[in-house]
Amino acid sequence: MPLTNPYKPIIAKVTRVVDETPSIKTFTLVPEEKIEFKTGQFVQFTVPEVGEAPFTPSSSPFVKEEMDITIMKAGRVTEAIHCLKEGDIVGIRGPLGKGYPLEEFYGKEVLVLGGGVGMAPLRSLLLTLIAQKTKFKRIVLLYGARTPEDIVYKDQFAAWEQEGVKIHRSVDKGDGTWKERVGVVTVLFDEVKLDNEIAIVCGPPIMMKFGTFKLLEIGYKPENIYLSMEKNMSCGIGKCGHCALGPYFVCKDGPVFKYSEIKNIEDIWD
Amino acid sequence: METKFISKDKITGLISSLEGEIFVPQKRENSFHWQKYPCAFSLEGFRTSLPPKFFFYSPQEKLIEKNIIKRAVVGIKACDLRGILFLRKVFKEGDFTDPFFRDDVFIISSDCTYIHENCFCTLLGDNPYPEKGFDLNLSEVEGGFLVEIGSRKGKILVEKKQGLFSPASPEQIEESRKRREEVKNQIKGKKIEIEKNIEPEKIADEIKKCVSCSACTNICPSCFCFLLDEQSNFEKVRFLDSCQYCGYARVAGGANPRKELDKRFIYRIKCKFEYSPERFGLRGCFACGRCISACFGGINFKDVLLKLGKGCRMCNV
Ligand SMILES: Cc1cc2nc3c(=O)[nH]c(=O)nc-3n(C[C@H](O)[C@H](O)[C@H](O)COP(=O)(O)OP(=O)(O)OC[C@H]3O[C@@H](n4cnc5c(N)ncnc54)[C@H](O)[C@@H]3O)c2cc1C
Ligand code: SF4
Ligand code: SF4
Ligand code: FES
Repeated sequence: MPLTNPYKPIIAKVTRVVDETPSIKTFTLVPEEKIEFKTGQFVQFTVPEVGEAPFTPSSSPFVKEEMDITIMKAGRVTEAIHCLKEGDIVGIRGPLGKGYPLEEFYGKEVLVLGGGVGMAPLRSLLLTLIAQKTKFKRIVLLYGARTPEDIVYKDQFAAWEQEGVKIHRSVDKGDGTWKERVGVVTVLFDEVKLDNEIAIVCGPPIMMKFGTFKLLEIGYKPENIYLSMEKNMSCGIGKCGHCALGPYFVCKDGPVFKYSEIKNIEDIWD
Repeated sequence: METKFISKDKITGLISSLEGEIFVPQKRENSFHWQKYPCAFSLEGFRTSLPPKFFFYSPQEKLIEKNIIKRAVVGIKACDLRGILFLRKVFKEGDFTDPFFRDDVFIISSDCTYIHENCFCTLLGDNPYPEKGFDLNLSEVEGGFLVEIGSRKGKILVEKKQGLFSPASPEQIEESRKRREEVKNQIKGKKIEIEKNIEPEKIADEIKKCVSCSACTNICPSCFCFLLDEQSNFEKVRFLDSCQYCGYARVAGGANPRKELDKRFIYRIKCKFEYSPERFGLRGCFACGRCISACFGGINFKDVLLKLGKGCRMCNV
């Protein structure tokens, strides 16, 4: 029986590995078949005999021959991924889920609020926004990391700034060389006057929670706050049940949700 | 569509005419068990002890292209047929289709002729006889069965085997209607209506008894959760999984939205009565009562639902 098997990955070769921080690496993959994705969609990264885990590509969707994926070492599969070297063969299933609804952001100020490795999907988003920057009123990035060493894409912020992105950064704990803000990412809100239009948030659960509360407090509407929800996943295609968030399956209905869609669901931050 | 009649002595002729491997219910004391035909079989009574869902997909299988043999299942009861329709929605609809869920199985369903003590389909508003989702349905009447045709495949078989059937008389149709009513009346109790805002306090004593063993979800005709395991060569194996396991929803870093027993227990109820209607347009429980017999903690799911349901608890008795 010839069949389309959604569980079968596309073979991809690792062509570059960049150490971002002591626990985060960016892998460039060249898939055997082109994988076209919309920014915000995710893929399942397959390591043979080990397992799969979901990640959002961190590269621009306009680059079609290769894909960057930025991965924090967090457990079994991500540890195996961190052992990969140039030339290794892995699998990619996707794109999965829905992307950011960019058209809804046209003409508006877009605030991008990121924490730690949550910057991965946001990098892809920023590159997409920059490529059509005249369509947006303004792009603002507020980014927080634990320490200066934990900042990802260290050498890329300057280029984004040159493209007109307004950038503010903070670290929880500074060191001798750090000249920007110290404190949790929400301290950055007093550095910038915002129009309270569109906010996009991605980061660790605790940062997403307090980031969202802060946005609501300063006047963002629940339907204008976009959150990347991270839930346990297995199939990635709406069949296995693992990623349930109330009535939604994050893998097919998300991973990005408007806060207004999920605010009445219990335990969204856990 | 026209209803036919088949006499009891011709029923093996009908079953033998099915292609591929054929599964039938066999009666043992007071329960029914799936057996590969040819063997003694029984179309009476209620649903089998194990649900028929694994005739449609496997609880543990390699997800690669393979040769499959034709398959037919006889004697599926109404609740289980609804379970199959539900699973078909899960696996076959949406942006992605699961090619390993079979929708080519020939289904001959049959009416319940008496109930199991845990059956409660009518309390959820369902009937103990199949209404859709079958190729052929058999309703027992004096001397044989009425045969209802539910699909093109069913029609083709009946035409091919014309000699086995005769037209059903109005009296036989009336008899079948009466029998169906009688079985319906065997299930007693108050209608169950689960409201959106479940109050866990109402069932706190029941939840305490749960040991998170997953027996209830494994045996359920509509539970579908699974886990993929990665083998060599980019091949995967699918295993049954259960939302009742503590690690089911855990993510890296340790966050877990349903670490506590009561949250998992409530999730199962909400999944079936609140989320599934939103996700798939269908309720996810078909009142077969199997999870009641299977429960290690002795939890009676029907009583749990009655306690949670609208209205006065005292009137439920
Ligand atoms: C849509 C989405 C996008 C993501 N994007 C990124 C990204 O760009 N960069 C990044 O570093 N991390 C990302 N994550 C988190 C990443 O998927 C987890 O860190 C990873 O699954 C951990 O797997 P593990 O085997 O190393 O951990 P273990 O704790 O050993 O987990 C074992 C299994 O549990 C499941 N699981 C565990 N944690 C998670 C989790 N957080 N999310 C989903 N399933 C999980 C997986 O099936 C995994 O194989 C994303 C998660 C989601 C849901
Ligand atoms: S629950 Fe209803 S349909 Fe299912 S076996 Fe019992 S009586 Fe039949
Ligand atoms: S939840 Fe229990 S009663 Fe309902 S369909 Fe599943 S096994 Fe049957
Ligand atoms: S990951 Fe399987 S349903 Fe979402």
